[in-house]
Parts: sequence; C-alpha cells; structure tokens
Amino acid sequence: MIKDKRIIYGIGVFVALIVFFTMKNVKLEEVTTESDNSKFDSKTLPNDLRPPLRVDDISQMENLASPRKFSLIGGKSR
Amino acid sequence: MIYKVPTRFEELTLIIKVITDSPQSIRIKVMDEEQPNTCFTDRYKRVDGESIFFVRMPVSGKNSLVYVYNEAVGNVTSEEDTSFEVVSITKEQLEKKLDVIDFANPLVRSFVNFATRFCYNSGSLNSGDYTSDDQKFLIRYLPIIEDGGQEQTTPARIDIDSGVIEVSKKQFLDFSVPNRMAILLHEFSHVYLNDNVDDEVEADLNGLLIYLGLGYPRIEAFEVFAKTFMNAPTEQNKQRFDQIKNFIDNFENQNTFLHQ
Repeated sequence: MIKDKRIIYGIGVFVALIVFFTMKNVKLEEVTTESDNSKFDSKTLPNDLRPPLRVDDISQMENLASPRKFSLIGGKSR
Repeated sequence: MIYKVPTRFEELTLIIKVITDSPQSIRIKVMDEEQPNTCFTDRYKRVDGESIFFVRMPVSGKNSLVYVYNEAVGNVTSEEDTSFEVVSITKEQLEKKLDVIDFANPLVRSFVNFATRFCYNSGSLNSGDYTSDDQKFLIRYLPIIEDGGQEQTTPARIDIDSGVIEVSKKQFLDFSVPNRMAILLHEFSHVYLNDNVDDEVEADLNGLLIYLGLGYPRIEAFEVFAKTFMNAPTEQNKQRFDQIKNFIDNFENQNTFLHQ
C-alpha cells in the first residue's frame, strides 16, 4: 500500500516537473505587424509600475481638497 | 521577425537561442507591446553557428515583442529570411544580488521605486515635474537640458544643493529602460551616496552597484556610459570608462568593493 502511494507521488512529481519545464519555454508566436500602442493606458499597470506623481496633479488635488468646510452634525462645538 | 512573449510584468531573464549556417550579424531588440518608446534591450552579436542571448529584465510589461533579425537583411518574416533561425525563447528566473544594495537606507528604497517607475514610463510621460510618493525626490522632465539657451549633451544632471534632477526627454526617448536607470542612479549617488558630491567616478560606481544588484543588464550600462562619454570624449571620461569596465567585471566575479 505504502509502495503504491510512493509510485503515485513519484509519477505526480515527474509530471509536475515536465509541466514546469515546458511552461518556461515560450511557444514561438511570430507576429507580422508592430503593435499599435497609441491607446496605451497607464491605469492598467500594476501599482509598482504606475507612472510617478506629477507635481501639477498633486497641486490640483490639494486645491480640490481645500478649502475644507465641516458641518457639525452634533450641533455647536464648545 | 517579431515574436510576442507574455512577460506579465514579471522580473525575468529571456534566453533567446539563435542558429546560423554562416557568420551573420544578428540584432535582438525587446520592446514593450503596449507602452510607447519602451525598449528593454537593443544589441547585436556576430553569430556563427549556435548562440544564446541573455536579456535580463528586472521590469517588464504585460507582453514583450522580441525582434530578431539579420542586420544585412533587415526585419522581415522568418519565411523571407532563412539566413538564421530562432531555435527557442525561454523565460528564466532573474539573478539579482540585492545584498549589495543598502535597502535599510529609506532614501535608497524610495529612489529605486521612483526611478523604476519613471524609467519604465518615460516613453509616454509628458514633460513636467515628477515626484516620489514620499515627495523626497523631484525629477524635472524637460524637452531638452539647456544652459543659457544652449542645448547640453548630458542626458541628466542633479542640482547638488536642492537634489532636483533634470532629465532630457529628447535623450531619454532614445534610451532603453536599463540605460535610463543607470543614468538616474548615477545622479542620485552624487548627492545621496557619495562622500564627495562632485566625484564623478564615485557616483558611477555607487550607482552601478545598485544597478547591477537589481539585475539590470551589464551591456546596457556599458552602452549608456559609452554614448554619454562619446558626447564629451575627454581623457577623464576615458579613465572613467575603464574604471566602470573593471567594476562590472569584478562584480561578475564577486570581487566587488562595497562603498560604505
């Protein structure tokens, strides 16, 4: 019984190794036209590759954020 | 010929195996499929028989386009050019040496993040001022760098007092992502790592240590310094290039001298 399990695990590891090594090989896909990157949208990038902050945009954000007016739901402040 | 490779924004090494029947000059160019003006490498090699190109990519886009062509023929399809064959393209793990980088220094951490994002996106960024998330660093992305109305040959420079880095968009558009990174790390080193802020060689080596540790390709560092020095071919720059070459060779052989 234990021997059977070992054989099954062995086959499993073997198959996993084959899958792993074939995944590393890229299937050669030749393209004939260059890409059209005119519609590139940086919002689709992961966070660690997003464009850095533009100073103008920060100032605009700060302008939007101020002036701050708070309404006091709880009535008058003391 | 152009091959599309899914790189999924991963850090990786592309291994491109090429075979020829006779000596041929084979060019390899790796471009981002979506991000405009974004090249990861552009190099050629004389190939006679089988040869392997290693392209280290600490950053990559969703998909990359790998251009492989015989320089004598130009970029045509594999049916039109039978002078060489692309045997395989393989993705391998990127080899890095992060232990040589002082990531305990928050300035280094912040600048590496900022510079990586700036360099990857330079091809599509508008001119303007860009800052790191912690707003400790500022890059002024200018159409060209000029002094008194005269265009300067340098691709970037740093103000020693304020730490503001000026970058020439005109030159950065022609640079690969690793080229851009090597230049920015050099400028950063002047003010934030050097013992002597004016020492060019010290800035070269401090910047290169981070660059190489992150796993960027050696050839792109040689290339960008060569391009920059060609615009100012002085005896001092010739000596700098020799020191850079020695440093890179020693880094490969793990004989790197660490600057404290």
